[in-house]
Amino acid sequence: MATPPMPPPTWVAAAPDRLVSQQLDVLSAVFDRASGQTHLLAEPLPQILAVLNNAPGTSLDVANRLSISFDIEESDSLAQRISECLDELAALGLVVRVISSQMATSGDSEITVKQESGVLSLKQSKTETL
Amino acid sequence: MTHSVSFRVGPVGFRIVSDWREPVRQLQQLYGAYPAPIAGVATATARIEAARPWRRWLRPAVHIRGDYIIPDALPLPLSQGLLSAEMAMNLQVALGWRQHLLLHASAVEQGGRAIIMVGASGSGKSTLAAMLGEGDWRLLGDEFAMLGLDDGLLAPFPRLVSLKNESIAEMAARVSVDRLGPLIIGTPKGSIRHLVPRADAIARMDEPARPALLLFPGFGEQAGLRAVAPSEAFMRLTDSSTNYVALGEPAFVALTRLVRDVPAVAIGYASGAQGVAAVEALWAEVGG
Repeated sequence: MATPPMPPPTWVAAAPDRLVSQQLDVLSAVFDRASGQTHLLAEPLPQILAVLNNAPGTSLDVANRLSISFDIEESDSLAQRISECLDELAALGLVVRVISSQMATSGDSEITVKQESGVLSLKQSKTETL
Repeated sequence: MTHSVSFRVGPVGFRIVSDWREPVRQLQQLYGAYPAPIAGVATATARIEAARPWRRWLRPAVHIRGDYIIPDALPLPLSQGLLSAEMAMNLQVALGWRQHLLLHASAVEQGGRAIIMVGASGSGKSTLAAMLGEGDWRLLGDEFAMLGLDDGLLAPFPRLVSLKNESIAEMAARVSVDRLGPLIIGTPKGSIRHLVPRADAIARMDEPARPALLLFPGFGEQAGLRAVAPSEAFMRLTDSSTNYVALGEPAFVALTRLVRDVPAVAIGYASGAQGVAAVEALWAEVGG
């Protein structure tokens, strides 16, 4: 019996009103109201956070959205780099990885996604069913 | 019988209580020109107590206590009672103060604009501030720079300057002896002698200043200047703050604003005089 291939993970950014960002130079300072922690993020982490803002997506979605604003060539190494960045953001608690079954809830309500790192409250008007 | 003394330094009203008369007498003398706490109310209390009750008479040693305590702080010999009092006062402010962002830094002012000097012990920030404070500058503080969370202004906190090792002789040659405390030798940081700030620094302690330059002094480092990026300045300032984490978002806002608005420079210098000359030259460049 063949198992269906695993769908690529979807990434959800912390609610925008949870983070306060200030671009300082090549680094941006980000204050997380939920954890009280301050992070210094190098490019392209702030840009990845921005394109996931209010719009969860896969690493491929992230690459596509970045290519709208930035002159980048899509390649396997780019996808790989974006995956690494998403892992770094996840380690800081700024994004969470959601598997598709958990994203199946749709509607206008607040949903809570449980992850190993804890509980992240998401406020979204609409969540796509994958 | 306990002894006590109260006085105000900038926004902080101190009350120091001790089992012994001598440290209190020294504080009364050195802080003689400082005003009393507002409405007589001390906002920080520090106690210098006997390490064990019987040690008050036998091999006296002192413990630092106060609103905030470090449980395992080593008792210091009574001869270092004044140093204990100063450490206790620092501790109460470092751990208890919430009205300003506290930076472990010295600061001086000229024409309403301030230089904040940030560095570890031995970087020369105290000596530089003390030397500038004897010239055309007003000393705002030697230990803590207090940054206003809303207005971004520096509140003066002109405590006694803690002179260490080589800088003791350098300053003793410039000021009258009645502005110097007793020489305290054999402390964990070597020899220490306290310097009373010049009268104008004390008289104008309620006059804030606008930060205009962030300086990272490096005594003994190769002479020269290096521009410090805002993100590096931000990182070093969060490291040097004792209450950044406790204050949360208002501290983040105040500190990001500071590093974006104010130029930051690291300087290396080999002597106090060379350091002062470098600061003056730099100040002329940033439009002082």
